[in-house]
Parts: sequence; structure tokens; C-alpha cells
Amino acid sequence: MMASSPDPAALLAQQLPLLDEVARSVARRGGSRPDDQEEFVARARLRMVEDDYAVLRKFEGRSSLRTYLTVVLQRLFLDERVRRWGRWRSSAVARRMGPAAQRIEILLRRDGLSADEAWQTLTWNEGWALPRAEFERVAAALPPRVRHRQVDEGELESVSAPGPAAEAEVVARERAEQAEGTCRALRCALAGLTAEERVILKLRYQDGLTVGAVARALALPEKPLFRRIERLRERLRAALEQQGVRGGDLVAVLGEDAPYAGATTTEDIHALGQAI
Amino acid sequence: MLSARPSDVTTAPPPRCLEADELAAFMDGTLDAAARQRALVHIDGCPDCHELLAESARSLDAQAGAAASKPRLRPWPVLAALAAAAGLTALLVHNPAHSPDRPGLPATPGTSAEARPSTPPARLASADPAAALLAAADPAALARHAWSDDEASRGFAPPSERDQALMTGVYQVDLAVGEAAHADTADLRERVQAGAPARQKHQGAFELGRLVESTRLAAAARTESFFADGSVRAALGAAAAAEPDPGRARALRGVAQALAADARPRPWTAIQSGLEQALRAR
Repeated sequence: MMASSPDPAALLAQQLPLLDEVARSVARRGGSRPDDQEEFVARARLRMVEDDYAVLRKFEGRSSLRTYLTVVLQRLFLDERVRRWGRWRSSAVARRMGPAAQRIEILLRRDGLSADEAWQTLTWNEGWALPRAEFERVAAALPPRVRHRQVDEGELESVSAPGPAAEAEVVARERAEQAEGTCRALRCALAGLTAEERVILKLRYQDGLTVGAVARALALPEKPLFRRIERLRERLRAALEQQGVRGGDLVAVLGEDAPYAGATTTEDIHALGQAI
Repeated sequence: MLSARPSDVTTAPPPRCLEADELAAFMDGTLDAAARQRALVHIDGCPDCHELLAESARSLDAQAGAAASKPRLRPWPVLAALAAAAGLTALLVHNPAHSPDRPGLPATPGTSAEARPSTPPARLASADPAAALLAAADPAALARHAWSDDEASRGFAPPSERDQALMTGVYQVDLAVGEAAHADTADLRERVQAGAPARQKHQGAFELGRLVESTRLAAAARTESFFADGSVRAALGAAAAAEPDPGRARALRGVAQALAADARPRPWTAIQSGLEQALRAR
């Protein structure tokens, strides 16, 4: 039940401008066009009254209404994006570059469209105002994705023996093994941090949040957080060096095409590796 | 050097994802220490909650930036502007119970769905916030959204202007019924769709079928005054103008004209039979 106002209808009538502002902000920041932003505002309003104001009845006044509405509408927006585009976890690079980059990555990496098809889909069908040069720049910055699949023994038998490229394969395997070792060391170092420290690092380096936004997310004072993040990087670097991995080697060694298990973990590690 | 912290080792992540109010309280720093630690451990291991936290923080950051760059507005002038935009002042005009000497209805509707204002006329004189909210909802936007959600992914062709106008009309009725019955509008839409004829090849026929069913529901909910406000009439007029089949266009125009004929609410049976005639005309 609501602590301060027992009447969700009255609360909504009073806070309608706030609801609209939050909805518009969430949609705009998610890359929606102006028309789509207004649609999202309309759906946000309906969501508030659906099921006898269920959303507002759950508001217990433990946070500000702005924060609560932001979380609720952000979840609504993310859910709608999953329904429309399908479930897909963007790479850390795309997340840092913003919604357009995330969409480009989906079209190129998940849907397998050519660059021409992806650009036409974005600009003609979806109305993104994206110059071709900017599209090319973003596409070039996105990390490659390799899809691993299981094959049966029969299929394996049909694979030809190593030929002239065998040497290159050996080099690639060695590089993958080296990367796997580095990855294991970084996982081990991260496991030595607290959950809060890992979340801080992920928000800062995987999601690309500013230090101010990280502080806002975790309700931490902003100024000390700068120093704390620096110290965390130093600790992580020291832990890696103890295991024989130098921080400077990480970027060179950790390619996202290396065969790690779990894409999200790989991206986390890659993003953090770049930071160290 | 690094070492595992006992608090992390002993606190298992909660099996369920964080509720919105829990995450909001986490972000505002109002959870107690134990609850905050549980939330942190969960966020650390749950990509969905982590993503929601990151995106919400970005949104709040953007809102703070926007607020800092423009003067603050007091709520009541904003509400007044919203009310004006939603046509709340015209409310009494549309409700015979509140305005026995109502002025004339709006002029003949335009032929384009885009020509209509994005915010439909409000439909209740009540101070009930739910009614005001529903009145401010934009059926045209809902119709576009419904299309992109329900149809585009199944390979249907994009809706014509006529279909779009009809879908808008259907949503007008859905909202009117929801507002009259204070019903859950999502549930209402499902009931309307379930009652409509089986999906037909032509989207317009499907939407018209939904409109017939919506009309029945509106009748049951006694929202007679709704049809007098011109919104559905405008949608039908636009649909008639864009309809290539002369028989159907004539039937649609007939219903629109019947709705515009006088200030009194038309008998439900007349509206319904006109719509059904339009539905059969193809």
C-alpha cells in the first residue's frame, strides 16, 4: 500500500506531467523518433491505469516517485524493445556508443544483413536520421561475433585434414589458449572483489556510464567514487600481475572472437580488460 | 591483495528479479544495509537487472540534465494546459446530462486521418482522474503501436490510411468503454478482439468487425454520448474517403452521416446495423 497517498488515481492526476516527462525522456534516450516518443507516452499513461492502478498501488514511497516511474517505464521500454527486436544482448562497445549502434549491431550481427541492407532498414524503414558515413564508422567499431555450434561426429569426419593453413591454425590456437588463460586470471581477480565493486566497474566500463551516473545508480557520493574507481583498477591490475598477466597485455590478448564460454562474461571481461 | 569478502560469500543472490520499487529504493539509497547487499549481489549476477539499473541511471541523469537546462514549471499551469489540449473544456458539450443546450457538433470531418488532432476530444465531464487520463490517451498512437506489435511481425502489409482511420476509431471506442466501465483497458481490448470475426484477409474488414463489437460493448456500458463527439465519425469519414470499394464507402459514409445528423445520440441499433452493413458490403 502507498505510504503517503492512499489514492493512486489522485496521485496520478497530480503527477501526470512528471509521468509524461519521464516517459518522453526514456523513449528519447532509447533512440525513439518524436512520433514514437508520443506513442510511448500514451502507452505509459495506459500502463498506469491498467489493472486498477496496479503500478501505482505497488509504490510504497520508499523512493522518490521520479525514480520509481523511471524504473517502471524503463522496464516497459526494454520489454517492448525485446518484443519488437527480439532478445539480444548488445556488446559493451555498442552499449557505450548508444541506441543507434545497438540497433546497427542487431541488424548486422544477429540478423546477418549486409551493410547496405542494414543502412536501408535503419533509414528507410525505421526512420533513423543516420548519415551513411556515420553508419560506416559505427559498424567498423562494432566487435565481430562468432557463432559457435555443435556438430555431430559424422560432420567432423568430413572435415579435411590441415593443409597449408595448418601453421596459421596453430598460431590461432596458441593465441586462443593465451587469451583463455588471461581471461581466467581476470575472472579470478574479479571474483576477489565485492559485488558492489564489480557492479561499479561494470557500470563504469562495460556500460560506459559517467562516474556521476554510477554514483546516482548506487546512491554513492560522487566525489569519493572517482578515487575509489582508480583504486579498484589498481587493485585489479596488481591481482593480474600476481598471476603473470600485465594490464597492458589484456587488450592485445583479449579479442572477442576468442572462444570463451558465455558471451556476456566475455564482454564484461573485455570491457574491463580495456579499462585496466 | 584481493580476497573474497565474507558478506558476498554468505549472501546468496535472491532467486527473483528485483521489483521496480525495490530497485528504485536501491537507487535512492533507502534500503537497509542487508536489503541493499542482497540487491547488489542479485544485480551483480543478473544481466537483466543490471541492464535495467544502468539504463534507469542514464535516464535519471538525462532528466537531471534537462531539468538543469530549462526553467521549472509549476504543475498546475501544466495541468491546465494539458486539460485544454485534451479538450476537457469541450467536455460538457458532449455530455447531454451536463449541457442540455449543447452547441453544434464539429464540422464535417476531414478526409485524412493525419488531419485530426493527435489528442482526441475528451469524453467525460467527471473529475475522475482515470477518466481524464483515458481521455488524454491517443487512440491514433495506440492504433499505430498495435499495428507494429501485432501485425508487422506476422508479415501483413502496412495498414492503408483507411485501415489506420478505422483502427483509430476502434481504439476510441475501446477507450470509451474502458472509461465508462472503469475496466482494465488491456483486458477490454482482448475481449473486443475475441468477439470480432475471425481475422480476415483485409485489415479494414477486421477492424470494422472490431468496431461492431466495440459498439456492442459501448452499448452495454451505456456510453451513448461518446458517438456524438465526432471522433468515430471522423475516423469513419476518413475511412470512407479512402475506401476503393464504392458499396462499402457508401455504407461507411452513411454511418458517419448518421452520427453527424443531429445532436441526439443515435440509436445503437442504427449505428450497429450501419457498421455491419459496411462489413458485409465487400
